Amino acid sequence: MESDADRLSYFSAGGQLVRHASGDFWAIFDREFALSGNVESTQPALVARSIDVASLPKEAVLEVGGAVYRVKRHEPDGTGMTMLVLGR
Amino acid sequence: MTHRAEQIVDAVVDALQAATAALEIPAANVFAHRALTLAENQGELPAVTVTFEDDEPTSEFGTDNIAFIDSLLTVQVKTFAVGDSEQSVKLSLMAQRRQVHVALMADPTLSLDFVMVPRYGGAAAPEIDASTEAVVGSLETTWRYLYRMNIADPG
Repeated sequence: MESDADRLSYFSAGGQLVRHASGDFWAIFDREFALSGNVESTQPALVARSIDVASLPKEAVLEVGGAVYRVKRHEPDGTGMTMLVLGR
Repeated sequence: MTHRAEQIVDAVVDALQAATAALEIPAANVFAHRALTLAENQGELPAVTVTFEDDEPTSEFGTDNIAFIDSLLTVQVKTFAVGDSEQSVKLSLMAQRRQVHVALMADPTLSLDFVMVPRYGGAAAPEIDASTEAVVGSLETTWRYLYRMNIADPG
C-alpha cells in the first residue's frame, strides 16, 4: 500500500510545483479540451495528494506554470489522492 | 435574387453587424447559419449567431391568393458570452439581449418592402455552463417576420 511519502515522490518526479499563498505543493496538471454546447473550451485540473490540498477552499487562487486559476471543486478518490477542478 | 426568407436573415445579420460596438463583440463575430463550434482562443467569442427556424404560411392551405403567399418566418438570434463568473456572464448576456432588440427594432421591416410585420418572439432562459475553464453562456431570442412572396417565385 502506497504512503503519502510514496505519492510525494511520484508527483515531485513527474509533476509541477503549484504555488499558493499558504504554501506550495506538487501536483500533476491537465488541461483537456472540453466542449460546452457549441463553444470550445478546456477543463484544467490538478491531481495532488489529499493532505496537500484538503484545506484549500473553493475560489482559492493557485498559480500553475505561470497561469492563475481558482479552485472550483475537490474530487477526492478516497485513497489519498484528490483532483482539483480549476477555473479562471 | 435569393429567397426572400434568406434576404430577411441577411438583413438581420446586417443590422446586428452595424451594432457590434453596442453589443460589445468583434465586428467579425456575427455569424449566419453557424454550425461550427466557436473558440475563444481563435477570437470567435463573444459572438452572435443568426439562424433560420420555421417558415410557415399564414393560410392553412398554403395560400389564399392566386398571386402571393404570406408567410411567417422565425429567425433565431443567439448571443454567446464568456467570463470568469456566472454573474458576469449573465450580465453580459442580458446586455447583449437588449442591444439585439434595439438593433432589430431600429428598422422593424429591415428596409425590405416585402416584410409586413416584425414580431418579438420571446427569449429562452440563459444557458450557463461553469464546468469548463471559463464560464460560458448563451441566450436565444426569437424574431418573427411576416412577409409576402410571389406565388411563382419567392425571390
